[in-house]
Parts: sequence; C-alpha cells; structure tokens
Amino acid sequence: MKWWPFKRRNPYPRSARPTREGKAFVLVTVGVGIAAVNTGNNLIYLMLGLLLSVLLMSMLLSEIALYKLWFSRTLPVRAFAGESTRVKLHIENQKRWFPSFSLELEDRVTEMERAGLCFYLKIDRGDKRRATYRFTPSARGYLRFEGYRVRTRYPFGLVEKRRRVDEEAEWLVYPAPVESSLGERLGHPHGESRTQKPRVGTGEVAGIREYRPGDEERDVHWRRTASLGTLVVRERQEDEGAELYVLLDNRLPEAPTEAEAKALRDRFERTVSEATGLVMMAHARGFTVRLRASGVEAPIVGAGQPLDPVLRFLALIESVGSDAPAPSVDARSGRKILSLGGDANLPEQAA
Amino acid sequence: MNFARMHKWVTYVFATAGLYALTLGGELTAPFQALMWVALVGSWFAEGAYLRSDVYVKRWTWVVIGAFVLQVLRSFFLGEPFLALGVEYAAFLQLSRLFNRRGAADHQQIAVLALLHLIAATILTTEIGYAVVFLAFVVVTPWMLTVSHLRREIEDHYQAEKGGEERVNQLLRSQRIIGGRFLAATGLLSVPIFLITALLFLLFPRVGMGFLSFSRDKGQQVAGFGDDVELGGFGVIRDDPTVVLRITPNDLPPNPAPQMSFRMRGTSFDSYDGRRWTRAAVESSPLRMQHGYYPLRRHPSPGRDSVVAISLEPIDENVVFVPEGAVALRVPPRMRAGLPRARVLKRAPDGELRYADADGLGLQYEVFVEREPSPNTVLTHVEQAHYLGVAGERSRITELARRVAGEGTPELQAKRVEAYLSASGEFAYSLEQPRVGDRDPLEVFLFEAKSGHCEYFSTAMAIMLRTIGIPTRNVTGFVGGRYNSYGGYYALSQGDAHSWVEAYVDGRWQTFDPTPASWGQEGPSDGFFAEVRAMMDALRSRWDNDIVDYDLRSQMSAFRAILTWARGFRGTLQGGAEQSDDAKKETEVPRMRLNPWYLGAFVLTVVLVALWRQRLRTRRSRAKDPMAYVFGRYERALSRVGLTREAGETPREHLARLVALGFPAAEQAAFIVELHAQVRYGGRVLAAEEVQQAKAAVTDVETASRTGRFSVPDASDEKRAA
Repeated sequence: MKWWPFKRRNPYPRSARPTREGKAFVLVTVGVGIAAVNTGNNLIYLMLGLLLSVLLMSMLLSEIALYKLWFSRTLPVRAFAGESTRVKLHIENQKRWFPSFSLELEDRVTEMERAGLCFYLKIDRGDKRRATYRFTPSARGYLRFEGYRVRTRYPFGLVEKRRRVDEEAEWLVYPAPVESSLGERLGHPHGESRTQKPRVGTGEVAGIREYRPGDEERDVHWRRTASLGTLVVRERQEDEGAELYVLLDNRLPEAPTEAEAKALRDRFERTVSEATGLVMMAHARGFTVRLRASGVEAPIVGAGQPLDPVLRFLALIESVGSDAPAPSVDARSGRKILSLGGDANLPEQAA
Repeated sequence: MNFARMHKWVTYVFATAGLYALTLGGELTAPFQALMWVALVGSWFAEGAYLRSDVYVKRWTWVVIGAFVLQVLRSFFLGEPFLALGVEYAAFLQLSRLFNRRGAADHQQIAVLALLHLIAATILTTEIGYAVVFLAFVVVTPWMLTVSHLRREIEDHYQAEKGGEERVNQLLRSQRIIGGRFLAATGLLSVPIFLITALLFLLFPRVGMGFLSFSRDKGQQVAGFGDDVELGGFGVIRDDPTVVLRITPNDLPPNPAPQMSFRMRGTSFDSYDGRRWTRAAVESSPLRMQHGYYPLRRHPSPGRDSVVAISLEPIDENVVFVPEGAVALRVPPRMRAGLPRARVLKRAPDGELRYADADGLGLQYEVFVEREPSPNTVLTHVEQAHYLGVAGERSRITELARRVAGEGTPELQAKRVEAYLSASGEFAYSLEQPRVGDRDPLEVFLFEAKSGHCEYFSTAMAIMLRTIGIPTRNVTGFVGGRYNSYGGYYALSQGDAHSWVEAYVDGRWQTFDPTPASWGQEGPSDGFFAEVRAMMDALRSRWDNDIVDYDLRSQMSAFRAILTWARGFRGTLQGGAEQSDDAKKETEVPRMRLNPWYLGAFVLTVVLVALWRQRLRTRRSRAKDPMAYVFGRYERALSRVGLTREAGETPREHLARLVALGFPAAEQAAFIVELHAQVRYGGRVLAAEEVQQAKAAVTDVETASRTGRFSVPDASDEKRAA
C-alpha cells in the first residue's frame, strides 16, 4: 500500500546541490554539530540551530525564486549553419508578491548540450525581462530545442536550485552558403552589362497575401495590415526575368566502408552548401530560381520574392540512392542551367 | 542608497557584531579593544584603487603573517594564555579583511569570520550579552548573505564581459537593485530563521558526551566566602546591584511585598586574630542524596515545610546559600551523556554547604524550610574553647561587654549586647571605613569611631560575647530581597552581602544581627534605572534558565508539557462525551478551555479575510480586463433566464438568436458583443468612457432579462423542430 494516497505532483522537475560556499557552510555546520553534541553547550546548540535554519531557508527561498516563472525564446527568422546568430530569451516573473533575483537561464538544444546562457539579476514581480545569447548552429536541418534549465543560487549562495522546463521547439537552419565555382558562369539575367541589382518586385500589384518570413518591409501593405490586424504584403506580377535551373544531384552511391560513406556525406553536404551559395547569388542578381533534385523540385522563387522556400528545400534535402533518376530539365531558350553534385557535373546547358 | 553603500553598511554591522561577540568573554584587554574599535572605524575609509595595488596587498599579507608570528612568540616567551592570543588574532584577521574590501569574495570572507567569531564566543561566555549579539546576527545574517551573494553574481557574470568593469561599477552604484522594500523583506526572513532556530534548539536531543569541554566563566567575585575575611571586606560593595541569588518562595502571594528580608546563610568563621576571621581546617563530609533529597536535618515534609526555589549565580566560591530553618535540599542532577548525575554537595561541621562539581553555570536548587528553632547541639569543651578565642588581651572590650550584658542567662546577655550595638543609638551604620592605622580596629570601632559596616558590628558582638564566655561565630551571607515583578522572584545582589553572629546559647546556635536597621536603607537606588535593571535581570534569568541550562531533563519536561497540553486540547474537543475511567485519568490535567466566542471570532476572521481576498481578486480582474468582466455578466444574465450560449455557438450567432426571440435589450446586447469581439480578437484597448458604456449596457441587459417579456423556447420544442 502506498503511504501517500494521492498522485504525486511534480510539474517542475528540479534538483538542488550545494555550491562551493554551501559545502564549506555545511562543513562548518557539521563541525558545530559535533561540538554541540560533544560539549552539551547550549550556546553551540543555538548556533547549530541558526546555521541549519539558514540552510533550510536557503532551500526554501531558492524554490520561491524559481516558482511562477514563464519562459520563451525568440529565434531569428533566418539562420545559416556555421553563422553566429542572436537568440533572445524572455523570462516573465508571474509572482504576485516577490521579485526573482539572480537567475541563470540555459537554453538546451539537447539534454547534454547548452545552446546559450543568459543571466538576469533581478526580475520584479509581474515583470518581463529579455536577454540574448549568440549561437552558431553547426548543421543544416531542423535544430531541436529541448527546453530550458533555470537555476539560481539566491538568496544566500549556499544552494544551487535547478529547474528543468521541457518545451520542445524546432528551428530550421539553412545550409551554410558556400561560394561555388559555377558562380562565374552565372552571369546576369539581363545581359552582362547589368551590374546593379534590379529593383525587385516592381511589377503591377497582383494582390495581397499574408506576410511570409523573408518578405521585404517595403512590400507590407500597412493600411490593410492595420484594418485586418495581421501583416499582409503586396504581391506583384514579376518582371519576366531569366530562369536559372539549378540541378542538384543528390544521388549517393553505396559506400563499402563507413569512412567512405562519411566522405560521401561530407561531399554531399558541401554540394548542398554550394547550391545554397549559388541560388542566393542568382536570386540577388534577379534570376527566377528553380531548383531540382532527384525526383523533387523546390518551389519556384521569382526575383524579388523571398528565397526561403528554396532555402527550406535545401535545408531539408536528403540524399537518395544511386539508382534514382538524375535531375534533369529541358533546355529551352532563356533558361540557364547549372548542375551540382553527382559524379559528373554536367556542362552548362544553354540554349 | 546605492548597492555598494548598502553592502558596506551591512558588512560593517555584521563584522561589528562578530567583534563584539569576541569581547564578551573578557579575553581581550581594554587597550586591545580600544585599538580594535579605532581600527574598525579607520577601515571604513579604506577605499579606492590603491586597495588593488600589489604593494598594498603584499604589505597586508606580511602584516598578517607578522601578527601570527608575534602571537606565537608571546605565547612561548611571555607565557600569555593561548586562548586570549587566539581571540586577539581572530579579531585582527577580521580587521585585515576590512582593510582589504576589494570585491564580493572579501565581503564573504568577512561574513565567514564574523560567524566564526560568534561560534567562538559560545565557549567564551554564557552571559546575556551573547543573546543580544545572537539576535543581531539573526537579523543581519539574511541581509549579509543575500547582498554578498548578489554582489558575487554581479561580479561573476559581468566582470568578464567587454566593458565589464564599468558595467559592474554601474550596477554597484544602482539604487534599483536593492532598496528599502528589499531590506524590509529580507529582514523579515529573520523571523522564520529565529523560529526555526528556536524549534531546532528545543528538539536537538541533549546528549552531551563531554569528551571535550571548555572552561566557562569563573563567576562573580564575592568577598566574604573564602577561607578568611579581613575586617573591612564588605560595605564597599553595598552599592553593587549585580544579582547573586534569585529566590522564589512557593507560597508567593498574589501581590508580593516589594522587599523581603531573606537571610541566606553562607559560611561562618570561628577564629579571630585581631584583624581577620579565619575558619578552622576541618574536613567537610559529603551530603548523601536520599530519595532525591539532600537532608540537612530530616526528610522534607510536604505539609510542614515551605519550599523556596533558589537560583544561585556562579560565584568564585561554590557556597550553597540556605535560609534559616532549612531542613533539606533538592538539587536537580546534571545531565551527562544523556544520563542524570547527582550533584556533589559537602557540608562542614559549622553548617557551611558547598557544591563540588562547579561548571560555571551556578546552581539551581530548592530548599525545604521549617519555622521551628534549630535543634540542640552539644559542643565539646575543645570546641567551646575554640569559639571563645579573642586574640590577645581584651580587657577594655571585656569590661564593656560585662557592663552591657549585665547579669542573666546567656541568651539575655546576647540580646542586650545586640541591642546595645544596633538600637542604643550610640553606633551608626556607615559605609566609611574607620581609620585605624596600626591600632586594633575593633577597639577603634567600639570606643572611637562608633560607626562602620556590618562586619564591624558582627565582629564586635562576637568578641564581646566571647569575652563573657559565650561561644560565637561570625557568619557571612546575604540578607535582603527586592521583588522583581518581571521575573516573579526576589533578587539578592552583591550589595546585600551581610555579616552577622551566631551565638551558642541554651544548647543551640542562635542568630543575632547587631547591625543597625539603617543598613537596609543603603543600597542600590530605586527609580527608572532600577526598573531597567530589574527587567534586564529577569531577562538574564530567563536566558540562564531556558537557554544556558536547558538540558535533557528540561527537554523531557517540555515534551511532557506539550503532551499534557495536547491531551487537554483533545479533552476539550471531546467536550462532555462520556469517557472511561482510564481516559479520565489521562485527561486529569489542566484543560485548555475553548471559548466559543474566540472560536467564532476566529472563524469570522477567516471568512472575512477570504471574502476580502476574493473581492481583491475580482477587482484586479476587472481592472485588468474590464470587457471580460462585462461579457461574463452579460452571459450570466442570459443564462439565468435560459438563454445560455450553446457550445460551438459564436457570440454573434447567439445574438442573432436573441434578436429572433425578440429580446428587449438586443441593441445593448449587440453593442456588448461587438465591443467584446473588438477587444478579444482585435486587441483594442477600451477607453474609460467605453468601459462605462459597456457596464451601462450590461446593466440594461440584466434588467431586461429579469423583467422583459420574451419567449424562451422550450428544449422539447427545439427537439421537435430538429
């Protein structure tokens, strides 16, 4: 029979451990305790009571400091692998009476890995505070945040109380853009003489659509935004520009050994990075970017439109077996085709 | 006040309390103490960049090492006590830290040193001063630890950053981190800390093993109870208000007399050499404890004897003072390793009692007293001769004694001599010492000065009686007793030390006090300061009894008291329910009466507080989201008349239904619904005027729902329609 008839509530898993000062304090307390028992001196017992009560209060108050805290994070809209970026962490102290002092908030990518750490000296009751940390994602794809770990040594610095807050979140990291040798063959959509970036999205307004990450601020339709209460942007008919087809060969042959497999994977990742660099360069020059891989195609991104659909495609692209069909495209007039990856980089196919 | 200044103040209060704790034991000499306090004040001004210079730090390191070497040398070559040198060095270390306040780590070291000083003081003193310092620590410790911790965090987290030094300085100059409210709230922590400390103090099992013990205070020095006493030893302390004995008679009336004359016998002297009294070196015999009592004449008899509880302060002579007519004593045993050890009492042939196992904590005991004459004693010829010695030729005194005593029984003669000295008017009590030079002090007193203090009077009577063949002895003790209304006891101070005579007449020792009654008028002054002194003494008495002398026995009786109270409380709750005989026996203890009025007042208070909190919550909620409050009222009003909004029905659909039903306040309802939608989904913030309009509208809806005529469709109708 269980001694406690109710279901145990532990919504906030937490732990405590003594700090360096706390260990010294405990040592002194034990010494005083031994002296008290040995001598029977009541004043030493009194002292022992004081030291123990300070320890108890330290445990209790650190618990209060971690109570009723609300956390959130703001991730940047775009992040590229290997590129440092700022992540904002917010804490809201929802306690009605007490401020919280001396809080360290850890953002956890996995159980063992810390993405960043922010320190908050004081958060008044009902107040919300923000702090930022720099973080460099190491690889493309979804980065999974496990949650937060908040800890405090308040009030006496004797005990460090930690609380784990599980709040999973995913963050899509784009591949690191790497300059490709194919960039030299890219040229300009309106001839070689054009050196300046064209004014994108200068066509007629075709309609209004919801804001998507990557949209330019100047395209926000503020009047409609104000009336609808949500961000909307003007969608324009794009200028007829040259299309760039990037063919990304994502087929990987079977590798007999683990080392070779790794080398192939690294090469594939390098290719994806080059593709990223290439599409970014092309997009900046005003190409309509079309990206194809084996059996799949990224959404078409016109000049002036946000490139994020293509970057998202590149962030998530996986390799396929070598028996899959190679990406291809019909060579037509006005199309520029560049191929990346695979055993044989196809030569530029221009009509 | 900014953070850094606040931290400095708190640190200094903490350090000062620690240093003061060190001074309580009396180990620090006055010059050292003076230097210490001057250095403490001087260290306040030690601030600035030079504290971080290498030269300054190195010099201080050498000074600390040098001071240590000096203390070791003093111990080896001058033989100075190790404890005093250690206490001095502990104080010096704190001062060195105060002169080196560079950062949080230094402040934390100061805190640790101050706590160690407080711990050290536990073996230096048991005085009430320790209680004061301890309370100061209870209050200041939360401040000190919290503020030091925050400073540590500031330095750890910002110092390493780019421009961290400036950022740290900016935070330390900030007035926003800690303020009055912070200090008040942190100060309030001392309340739970104190309560937990008190609880732990009560609960720790008192099983002192006694492997290592430290000597305590030697106790007050009280003249007159050693092996000899020189004529002129008393009187000078007549003004000393230091309490030596606290007496609580068990038959204390509801309004006790402000003064009583308790005659507490201490010791006696039998030989007089012309200037000093001495006591014959006789072996004292241990007083055997029988059935929990130390019988002096017989076992105590409950109906016959009155009981007097006495608390004796530690004094340099371990004399047990007993009132006249004492027949037995009860002395609680000491607790050692959780076991009771009977106290060791010894009695000399002259009736002097001493305790042999002094521990610097004084003695608590009860004396059983009967108001009957002391029993007859037989003195041998040798003993009689011993009590008749007058040290040389005393013809002039003999002549005076014969003249004063006249003819009659020895008792009558003794009374005449007593009256001659105390009531004839020839002699006066005075604190002034007669100037005797090389002459016999007694003859100067009797024939020239005719004034002196009690010792002169008792010596004069003892010698006068001896010259006419009556054996006498000079007795010292305390006479007096001022009622302390704060503590509920009579206090006898050092100033109540007295000397009188015991004469062997009619086969027994009888007490005679030849000192004029005016001596009782001398003594510590009354008035405001006497009141303060009484209050402090009551506090000190409680401190000694409840804290310093708290042992396993006290712990067990405290638990028993709690158990008794709990049983009484349970009995109260059971009320008039029938109880078995055994249960009745169990509950035969003073019951706590549960007054129904108090209970009612308590319940009412709880209800009122709950209502007040509810009201507060509602107000806050209204202030935070007035539209939610209005919409809640709107929906409740409609629900009351059966127009509840169905699950899945939007407020607008619900409104359309109301309109279809011909709800009289449909316009107001539409206003509320639209406004609610704008606030809830459009993020609109209402102006105060709009809030008022919404409230007015919902009032209309409430009124219409109560009084309006409209048909509410029956559920069965709806089903049929479906």
